[in-house]
Parts: sequence; C-alpha cells; structure tokens
Amino acid sequence: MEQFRPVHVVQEDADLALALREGDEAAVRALYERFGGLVFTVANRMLKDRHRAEEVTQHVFLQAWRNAEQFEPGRDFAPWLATIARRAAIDVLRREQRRPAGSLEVADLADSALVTLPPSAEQIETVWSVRAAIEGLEPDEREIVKMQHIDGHTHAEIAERLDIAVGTVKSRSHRAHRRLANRLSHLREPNS
Amino acid sequence: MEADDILNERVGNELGAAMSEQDNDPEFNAESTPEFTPEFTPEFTPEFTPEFSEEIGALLADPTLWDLPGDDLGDRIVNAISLESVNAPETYAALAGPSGRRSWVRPALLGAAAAISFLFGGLVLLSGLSGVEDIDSFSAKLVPTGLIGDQSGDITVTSFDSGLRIELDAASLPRRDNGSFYAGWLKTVDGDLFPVGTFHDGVDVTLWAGVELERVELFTITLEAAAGPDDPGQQSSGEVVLRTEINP
Repeated sequence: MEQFRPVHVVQEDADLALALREGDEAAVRALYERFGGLVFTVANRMLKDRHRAEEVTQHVFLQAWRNAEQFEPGRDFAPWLATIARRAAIDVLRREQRRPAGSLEVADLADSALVTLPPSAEQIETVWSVRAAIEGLEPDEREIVKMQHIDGHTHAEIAERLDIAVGTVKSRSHRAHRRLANRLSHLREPNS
Repeated sequence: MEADDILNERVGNELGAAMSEQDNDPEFNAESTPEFTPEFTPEFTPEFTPEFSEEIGALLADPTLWDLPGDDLGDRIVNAISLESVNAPETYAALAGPSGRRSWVRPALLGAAAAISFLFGGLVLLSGLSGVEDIDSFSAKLVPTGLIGDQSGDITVTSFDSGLRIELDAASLPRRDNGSFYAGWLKTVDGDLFPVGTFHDGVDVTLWAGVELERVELFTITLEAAAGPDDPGQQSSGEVVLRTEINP
C-alpha cells in the first residue's frame, strides 16, 4: 500500500494535510478534486452502482474531515482514503447481505449480495493505480484507450470515428500503453 | 526499486524519442504497429508480462474504472461538511485536542454556536409570545400516492444558514436496485423543482438542499432509473410515490 503514488506527489500533499488538520474547508474541496475520482472508482468497482458509489464517496470525505487529526502530514493520502472507501463499501455490501433472502432461482447474478468475498487491499490498490494511470493520460490518448478497451473498436474504426489517420491512432495508442506500463510498473511481481 | 526506475526511465526515453520520430515520419508504417490486447505483450515494455497484461487489460475493460462521479458531488460534500461544522462544534472541540490545534476554529465555532443558540432562543421566545410556529424545524407525514402501494414515512426539515437538512424515515419503501432508485425533490412557491438527493431505501436517509425553507411548499419522492448516455440530465421522472406539503 506504500506505492500508490510517486514520492514527490506525496510530498506535495503535505500542505494539504496540514490545512485539513486545521479545519480548512477549502482543503476538503482540494482533497476531493485530487482524489474524488479515485475514491469513487474504488466504491463503484466494489458496488457496481454509481449512485451508491457517490454515497460512499461522500461518506469517505466526511470521515476524512472528521478524522483529519489521525492523518500525519507527509504520508500518502491515497492508502488512507482507499482504506476508508473499501471499508465503507464493504459496510454497504454487508447491509445488503442482511436483506431477507429470496430464492436463488430468481436471484440476479449481478446482485452484490451474492458476492461473498470483498476485494483485498491489494486488489483495491491495483484498481486505484489503474484509475490514476488512466487519469494521467493525455485526453486524446485516454479517448483512444477507452474506445479500444471499453468499446472494443479497432484502430481503423477509431480512426474513422475520430476522423484522424490510422497511424495517428496507432501511435497515440502505442504511447498511451507505454505510459500505462510505466506508471503501473510498481504493481509487477518482483521477479516477473 | 532503483533498478526499476532506471529501466522505466530508459524505456520511456527511448520510446518517447522513437514515437516522436514515428509521428513525424511520413514513411512510418502504422500498420506494422500491433494493437494492444490483454494477451499482447509489447516487446518494448518488459514490465508487461502476460499475466500482468491480462490483469491490467481486464481492468481497462471494466467500465467502472472509467466512470466519473456526478459534477455536483464535490459541492454536496463541501456543503455537508459546512453544515456539520456549524451544527457540531463539539466535534471540532474534540478534534482540537490538548495541543491547541484549530485554535482559531474552536472559538469561532463556539461563538457561532452561541450565536445560533441565542437566535434560536429568541425565535422560541418570539414564537411563544406571538403564537407563530417555530420555522427552524418542520416535521411532516409523507402521504402515499398509491403508485407502489400504501407505504408512508416521515420527514423532519431543519433550516440552517447554509440550507436545509431533510431527515427521511420511510423504512417501508421497498428497496430499489439495478439502476433503479429514489430521488427527493423540493418544489418552491415559484414552481422550481430542486433535487435534494438520491437513495436506494428509506432507512435513515439525510438529504441536503440549498433552498430557503420559507420558499418550499412541497416535498416529493420519485421513482427514478439511472440515466443512459443519451439522458444525462437526470430530470424528475414524475413518478411520485410519496409527498407532503410543507407549510412552516
């Protein structure tokens, strides 16, 4: 959980941590702008429901505000917030699992109540890191990577939809995936 | 880690230069550039082992990794914190601790609390003298429209300087999932409709709105479905399940 973010970025968060500890509401907004999307992604990935994920995200930042004294400036916000998000999402899943059980024959396979094992902290770190890597792409690179992976479009189809040359699509895709590889290299197995 | 950093930097530099050349090279054969797939291991990124590629590729193909929170979520969070900071000064007194941190916050909040108490006391006194009902807090029974049955509930609306807090207790509402949910709405005397929040069941729901209580005449709960990409506006469905008039 120590390698969510580069060291120099962690250092930049020190001022933000101090402001948060002083009760500065502007610090909460800054914290949200920096980490809101990432916290939302963790919750959304676990709950598969954007509305409940927003509720969890709001809860996470309220908790961060209430417990700011527990946070030491100079440390990385990311694992702290990710841990709160994971616990909050697990609480939501547990509440749902306490709902009256119906017949398994009519159960929706997408029902989160059927999920018995919440993701590990390590899996959450991976999700967080991938989302952060996506956010770190240039907008034109991000668009192409999304069209490839989410929409399943080929380079030629992307080129046609964006009205750009296939070569441009390929070079941007190439560059984007290189960036992703570099930014996610800390997730590699040590000896792989 | 140092060796990895050096490797990543070298790979990045070499490829960055190579890609710049490719972008500017009219002879660059883009067709020879392989597409990235979870199974594909680019030869220029030794970090991407097949297993690693598969895991990352699966995550990149997960729509939840690309989804973004609503544009107003940041405002909602800051608003909730702002309201809490006014209404729970003891929380901050406790947080300040013996070290004296938040020294400027604590007296300010205690002062604000004292001022609110004074104003509240004055309002109570005035209402007692004039017979006018206290408008700082308003409770009402929610009436079913019959759309989904005869469920009912209660709300307590409390007015603060920065807006309204609406505490909802409607435990009998059946839970909504799989893209379906409830939304709370306030309608003003001017006919404006304000969304105050969404929820999946009616147990211990707290909603917030930046509307003056005096302007509100109606509170409703509607059935909603998650908006598709062609309907990002999230307008009210108009399918009201519970409602109550608000006449402070």
